[in-house]
Amino acid sequence: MAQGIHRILEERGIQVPEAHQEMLAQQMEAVQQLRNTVDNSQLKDFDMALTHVPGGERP
Amino acid sequence: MNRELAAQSIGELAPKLRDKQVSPVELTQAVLANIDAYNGEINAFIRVQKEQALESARQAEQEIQSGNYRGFLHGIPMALKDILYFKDEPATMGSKIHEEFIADFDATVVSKLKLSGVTFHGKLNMHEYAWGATTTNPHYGACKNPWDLSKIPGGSSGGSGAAVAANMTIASLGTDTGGSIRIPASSCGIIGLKPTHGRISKYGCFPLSWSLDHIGPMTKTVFDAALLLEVLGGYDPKDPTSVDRPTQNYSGGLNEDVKGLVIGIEESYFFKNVDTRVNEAVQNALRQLEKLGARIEPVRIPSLAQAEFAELVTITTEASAIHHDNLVKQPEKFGEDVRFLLEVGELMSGVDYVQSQQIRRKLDLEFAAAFEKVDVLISPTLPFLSPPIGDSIVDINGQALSFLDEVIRFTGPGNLTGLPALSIPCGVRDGMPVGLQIMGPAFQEEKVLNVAYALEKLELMKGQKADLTVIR
Repeated sequence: MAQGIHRILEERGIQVPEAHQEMLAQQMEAVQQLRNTVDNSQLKDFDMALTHVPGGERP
Repeated sequence: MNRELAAQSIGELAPKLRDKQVSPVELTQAVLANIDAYNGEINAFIRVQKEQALESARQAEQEIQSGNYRGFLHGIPMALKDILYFKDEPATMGSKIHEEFIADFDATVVSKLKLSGVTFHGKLNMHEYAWGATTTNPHYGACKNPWDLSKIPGGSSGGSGAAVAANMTIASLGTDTGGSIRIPASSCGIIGLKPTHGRISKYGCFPLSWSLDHIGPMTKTVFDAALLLEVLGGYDPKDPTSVDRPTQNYSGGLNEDVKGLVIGIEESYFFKNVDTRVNEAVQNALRQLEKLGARIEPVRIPSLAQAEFAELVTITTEASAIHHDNLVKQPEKFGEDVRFLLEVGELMSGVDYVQSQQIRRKLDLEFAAAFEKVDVLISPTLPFLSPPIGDSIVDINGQALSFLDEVIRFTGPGNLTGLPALSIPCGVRDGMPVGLQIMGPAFQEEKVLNVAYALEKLELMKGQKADLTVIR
């Protein structure tokens, strides 16, 4: 996983210190555990509700 | 000089300034004397602006003497977090990269405070770019907790929390994206109010995460927080997230009567894995409110189980978008912890981000349903007492847990939903203050402030403050 993460970040132009590689792998494993708490079927009725003001803000 | 003056609140000082019993110059000198005495140890300031402050105080004195008293904030010395823009002054955001940055306009909150006659005397230390909760700043030095110099003051507005607690400013402002007003308020034993998202303009505040960022008061009393909210609140067309809703006379309307108040408790989320000392202090506060006639009602907000995911994804993704260019071009200029978190944000997927916004919508509706049954929700602000500087692990009842995960567990939902939330000290355990969080319905800050006011009147702190006599 650490190598895959390194490759993704490198492709985005980001240099990753060696010390971060294992830490990032651990962090992304933790993120994966959190992803597992998300039940998408429970979310399908919820608009993401990002709002934009057509024409920009009030002058 | 009477340094005791600097220990007083805005509510205590304003009538004395108005009636010319205290001069703004004398008060500013008292605050500056405390900075001389304590800041060498506490390191709450990135920059102290003595001459500018004294000049401004002299001007306030002249205005008041000639009968042009502007109101409660006239002649009050304030120092703000170094993330808010002052025209033609540096704003570092606690970073190396923005070390030389000079803002060319005032933040809306700064304009409003200037108009109110505030005397500014410095810029406060913070976690680099507000992206963390320790204020152990690699560029400007670690800020220390006035209650115990070996402990963190919390963050990211740690300088604001420490400066208010050590009487180095009368009041301050912080910014809050995952809890950065409430966490240092809890850690330093002061009041921290994160208003409803859109209530106070963020124009002129360097962003961490646009959809989660808030600005709010950090003060010695509930009255001062209410007062600052009524001065700073209101629609601002320059901030696209500002909401056009009327503000109120929050300070004048404070009411300590909690008879009939219904307090919601979400036990499965907000009282899970809490240090027993913290839990005991909060439960004691709840019992006291019950004795005054409030009623406790259990509530369930099931989507809180997904709040950690939504907070982590939203904050890391938006922060990494903001800092992407610098992460590519000059990554070595970030502190190690911030650089790491910015790398994490680059790894989140678009699907993660959208799902997080869907979770926020679900949370909005579940909180709204809860507030149909209860007036406010109460919880601990933090699940632990302030840890030693440098610790990345916190001990909660013998369990070693990640500081970063735990620190925003109870405050993050307030950012995801944008609901108003306030931290108030509710006791001291093992020499450190414990914060209690009150959340309320959107744009009903008065409900949150009234409960805080009732708690303040209970004097749960028994007059205990940081012992500044040991700091030299």
